[in-house]
Amino acid sequence: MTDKKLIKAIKNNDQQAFKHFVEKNQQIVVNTCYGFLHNVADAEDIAQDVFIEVFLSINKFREDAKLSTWLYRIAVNKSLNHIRDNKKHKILNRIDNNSDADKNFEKELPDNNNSQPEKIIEDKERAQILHSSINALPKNQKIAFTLNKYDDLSYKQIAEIMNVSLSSVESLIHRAKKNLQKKLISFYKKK
Amino acid sequence: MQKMKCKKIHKKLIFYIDGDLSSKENKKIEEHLSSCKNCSRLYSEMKSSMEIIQDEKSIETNPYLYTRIKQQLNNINENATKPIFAIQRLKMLQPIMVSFLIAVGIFIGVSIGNNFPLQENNIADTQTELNYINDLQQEHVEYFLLNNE
Repeated sequence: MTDKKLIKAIKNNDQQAFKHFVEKNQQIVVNTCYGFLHNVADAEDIAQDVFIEVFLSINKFREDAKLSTWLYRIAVNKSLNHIRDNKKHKILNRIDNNSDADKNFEKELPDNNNSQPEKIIEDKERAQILHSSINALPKNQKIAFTLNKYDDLSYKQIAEIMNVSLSSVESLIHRAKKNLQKKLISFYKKK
Repeated sequence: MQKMKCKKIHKKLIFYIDGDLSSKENKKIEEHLSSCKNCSRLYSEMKSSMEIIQDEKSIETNPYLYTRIKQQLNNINENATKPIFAIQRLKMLQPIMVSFLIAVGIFIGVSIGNNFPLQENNIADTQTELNYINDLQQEHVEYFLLNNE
């Protein structure tokens, strides 16, 4: 089904079309949200909000942008708003690191790592450093870097989503990498 | 000199890992990494960190996500039609109603206020009339009695 037909069907309250839309895009949306939130449960909750927002405001969609671009924009905004609105997020993350993050990691790591607790702890620490370094990036650098790395989007697609020029995206990602590298190197030098 | 070279390498590691450098630069970095233990260790740490992103991309999505969305949409629709929410909506209208009533009150007050001097005139007119028909002034009792005699 083309985007136009899909939008028309959802506007006409076609539940099957909406189900098809959700199933087709849920991996993308959850991935995008995870890139910002670094927590599976939070990413799924926000992905749910993203699809509800799409369903409720599809009539406002002007169709001058691609449906996927609109979807990414909602996912990015909802994720950033979630981080902003939940000031407790960081504190809770630190407290819950031994519960929720552990579960996520155990779920994500291959089976052969289960017999290596040291490797699990090391990977967990490494992930925490990476996530906090990404979170510390300036907003636009974080958006561009996350969309590029977690969603494998091209610079052109990112430029459309962020509504900036291609060269701006190049510059944002370059600076994001430099900042990330600085933080990671300074951490691993001390080790 | 070696330290200077290491610093330069550190600034390019992430770009080397991401394959953003030219083949000439890649070769220079590879040569340095093969001879510098410290840089080689930092490279391994950085590479492992960046690989985490690749691992995280393979998160399994919840097969019940659509069911959850559908449920939430149903809840939104139900809530919109529930009487308790209608009352809540009425409560939201309360400030508007209060403002309207205050405006009506002020209007009525101003109207009455404008009519008040007119009522004063009426009272004055009535008093004049009463004075006018004071028959004791018009016809004296003595005069009336004298005439009858």
